[in-house]
Amino acid sequence: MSTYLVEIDRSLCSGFGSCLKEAPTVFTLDGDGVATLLVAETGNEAVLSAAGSCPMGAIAVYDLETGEEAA
Amino acid sequence: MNGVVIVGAGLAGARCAEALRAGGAEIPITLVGDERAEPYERPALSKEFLAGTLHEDDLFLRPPGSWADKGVELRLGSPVERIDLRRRTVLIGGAELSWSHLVLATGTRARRLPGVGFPNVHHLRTLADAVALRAAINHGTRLVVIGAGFVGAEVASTAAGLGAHVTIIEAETSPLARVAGAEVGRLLASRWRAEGVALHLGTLIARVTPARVELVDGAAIPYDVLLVAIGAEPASELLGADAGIPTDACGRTAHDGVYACGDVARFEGRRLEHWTSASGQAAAVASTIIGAPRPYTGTPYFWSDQFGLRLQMVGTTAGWSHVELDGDAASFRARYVDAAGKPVAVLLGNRAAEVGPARRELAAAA
Repeated sequence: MSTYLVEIDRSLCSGFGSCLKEAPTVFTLDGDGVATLLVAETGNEAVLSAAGSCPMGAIAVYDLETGEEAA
Repeated sequence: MNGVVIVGAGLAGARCAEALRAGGAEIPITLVGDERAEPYERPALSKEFLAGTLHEDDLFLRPPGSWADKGVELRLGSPVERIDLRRRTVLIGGAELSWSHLVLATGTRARRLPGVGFPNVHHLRTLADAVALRAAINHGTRLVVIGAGFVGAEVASTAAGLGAHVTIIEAETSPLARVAGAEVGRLLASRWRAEGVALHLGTLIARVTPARVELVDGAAIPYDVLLVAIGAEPASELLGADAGIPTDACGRTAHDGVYACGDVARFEGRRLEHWTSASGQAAAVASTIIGAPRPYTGTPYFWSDQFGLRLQMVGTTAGWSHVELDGDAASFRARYVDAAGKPVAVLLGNRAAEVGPARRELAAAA
């Protein structure tokens, strides 16, 4: 099982919230309506579709074993 | 008066106001909308809201009342009647409002079929449209959708899920033809048919009565509810433009101090009706007003949820010459390539994890 490192570009985030729907244990919205991480590293594969569903392309996911961008 | 007036309180207008405040702008901001609702998200109107799994309160872009906390004055239910570019005012309900910066984010309105205005004929653009449509669709309702574009497809999908009997009529020979092309369109058509939707493709309408749609091929399709989903027109008449408002990559129009963003804007020669571009263009306009212009150059992106498929497209298929299709109607990747072999767009069906790689591939090829 892979471990993923997740990054959010807060300057791009528009607060649509699709990442919360895909991976509610990893993402939340802060008081300004900007996505924030609850954990920075996770084995939860839902972060891949969370990154893919972000309309702003503001989420990057890296596979920690390979160092490659995974989504 | 020194102040920003934003006409249009949809996503582009609201995001522009937010981006102005996030960027430190301290001037007064007035967000003017012709609808009564506080700024809300439209994507769910054809999907979760229509299905009844999301309610009006779930659609608000930000919590009701929070705009005042940001120092954004909302003027809702207030259509703008006129813009005076020389005196820098807008006319609302007979009263003038002055501006030093004017942002036009008036969006689009649903295109109508001339002469088809019966009480059981619907369009879908606004929350009010969606409320009316939701009330009309029940188990067993015979719904006819004219137009196999994204709005038509999503409403058809939701209505089928509610137990309605759905028929789609489309002049092109495959669904989503303009965007996806015939090969991918046929794949989608097979999926829609498998979900129980009747499709009449490559045919034209001869006549619409309050009870049925008659086609030129002789078919007559009875309906209880008719949805006309034949696209949208930019609401750009305030500036005397009929094909969208031309801007540069920062959202500046030909008029000093006047900007446009979202569906109404012809941003650097291209008008898009995408959530992503509306949001990105709004940020570009805000940065320009603040005096630190950041042009919007993002790759076009949109998504659509229909018949158990999440469709996601990166790029634009304008200028494609052939498509490389991998997968089937349950999960696929369609890569659109131009005559020189350069990828111009990727359409994914139920492959969300491939969006990032597609974005990177297109960015590298651009």
